[in-house]
Amino acid sequence: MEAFVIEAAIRRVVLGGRVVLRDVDLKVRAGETVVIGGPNGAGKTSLLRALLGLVPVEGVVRIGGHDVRRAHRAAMAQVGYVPQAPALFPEMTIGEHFRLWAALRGVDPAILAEAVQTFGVSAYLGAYPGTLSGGWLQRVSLALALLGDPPVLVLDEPTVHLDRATRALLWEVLRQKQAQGVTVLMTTHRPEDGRLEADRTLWLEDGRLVSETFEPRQVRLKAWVLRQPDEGWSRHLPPGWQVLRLAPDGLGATTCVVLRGPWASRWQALQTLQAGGNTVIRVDWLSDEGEA
Amino acid sequence: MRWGTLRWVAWKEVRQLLRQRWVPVGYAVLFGLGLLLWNARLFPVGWFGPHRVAIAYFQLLAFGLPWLGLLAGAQAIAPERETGRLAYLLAQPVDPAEVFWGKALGRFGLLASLFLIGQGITALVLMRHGGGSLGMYGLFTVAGLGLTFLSLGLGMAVSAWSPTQARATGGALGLGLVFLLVSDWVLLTAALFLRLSAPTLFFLTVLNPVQSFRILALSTLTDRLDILGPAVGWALARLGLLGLRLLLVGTLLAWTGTAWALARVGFGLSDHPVGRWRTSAEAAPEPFRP
Repeated sequence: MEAFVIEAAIRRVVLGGRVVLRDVDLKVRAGETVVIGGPNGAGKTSLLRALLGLVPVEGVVRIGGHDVRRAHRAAMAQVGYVPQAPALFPEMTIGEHFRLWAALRGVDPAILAEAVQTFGVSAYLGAYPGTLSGGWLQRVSLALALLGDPPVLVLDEPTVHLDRATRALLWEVLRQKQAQGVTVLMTTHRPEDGRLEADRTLWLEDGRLVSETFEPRQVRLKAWVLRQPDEGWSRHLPPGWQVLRLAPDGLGATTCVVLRGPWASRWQALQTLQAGGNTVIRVDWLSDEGEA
Repeated sequence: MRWGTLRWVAWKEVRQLLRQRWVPVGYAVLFGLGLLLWNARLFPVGWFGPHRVAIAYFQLLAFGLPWLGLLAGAQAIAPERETGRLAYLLAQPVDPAEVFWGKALGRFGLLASLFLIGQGITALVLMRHGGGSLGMYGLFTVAGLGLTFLSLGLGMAVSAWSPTQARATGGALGLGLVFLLVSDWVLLTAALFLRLSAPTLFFLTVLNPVQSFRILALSTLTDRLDILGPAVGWALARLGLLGLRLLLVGTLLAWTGTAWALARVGFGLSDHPVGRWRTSAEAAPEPFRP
């Protein structure tokens, strides 16, 4: 039997007299990155809150095998959460937030220093949230979520307030976490977020999950390589990857290579292409249905 | 329930209340006025002499403590729920009950500390002027702590059942007005126009916890409770001083228990603390549908 780190069978969530979620069944495997998209008001934030047991749910939600209502503490000990809008306490300094979060999560002060360093917030430990920009508040929220290395990260539109550099930093940190086997559940309405990081992309509309698949997602890698790639490199591609096209491009100065394979091993495929002594000058990621 | 979590949530509440400043300022103003009153003791007027000042001091605290407790309680839950901060806190490895009682502990701890500091300073001034009974003063201090605890519970109950900070503050202000002003006016009017009997008037009076506190506080100072009028005079004659005190203490305990039970249920005994109402994060506009 397959082990899921998040299991939700939500029949209904009613907030303010309005049904915001209905018939949502969601299972997330350990180490999987799942991105949930949907228009404004689709119920993305409500879904994350329902998964964390923060709103009354008709149904059952388990995180790490713990019922989020009956064993709230045990379930939340598995989760690092970043809310959509930074929700820091205005009367407490950033440093006090770290002290409080570390105490609640039982985190060693040495690890605390590491988390503060990761997102470069150490210069603002004495500042109050009201004096920081939205981007810095989001950095603080991300650093707080990583405290204690929780095995599950739940991120509610984490890129909303971030500039390009901080977004890149976030993706870098998330890739490291993915490599460590951390499960990531994230909502976004930026399609590029889903394309870049997800093992699975779900779409939520009017409180319902309208598309979900447990099939491993396929992706196409379209790369332009300087000159003709050396022979034999394709034998080292990860399992499931195949070469769809290999042809000179333009005046023959570059070669266009199109590969197809499982989403989860996309970075290994790119590394294989680069490791063969080939100089890759441009890479495009295309959905499996995309034109190659 | 884990003591460590309770302590840290209480620590957070104390930080917040101290930095909001209005609570320490409120107590400073209250006890500043109290000290001014005690200074008036040097000029006793009327047949009641120095005790008249003590009664005025009790009345001042009976007026000020409920406001501070109600408002401090009203700010405990609804504002954090509205802004999503309560959800953020509950998304940590905590039990919702720990968050509730941590809030109660921190807020009551701070209010009680400020009250005791104020009472202590007042006691020092009184000792310097060589007046007052320490036992009476101690009893009154305990009653004041009880009133603080009760009004904080009422404020937290209002906060727990309010979807927004504005409604919680409005509710607490409304409750304060009812207990401190409106109920007196209603009783006076009813007594005049409906010609209420003394027992009816007495029981309607002690239904108001602030009035119960006032009579109880006064009973620690003097056994001449007939100055409060025929209704209390009837109760004194019928129940005796001890019986009357027990009735008043019982009324205050019943109010306290009810207030805290309502607060706890409103926070989410059977439901979830953040639930029922959409927070600002969820109150996104409805998607456009042509």
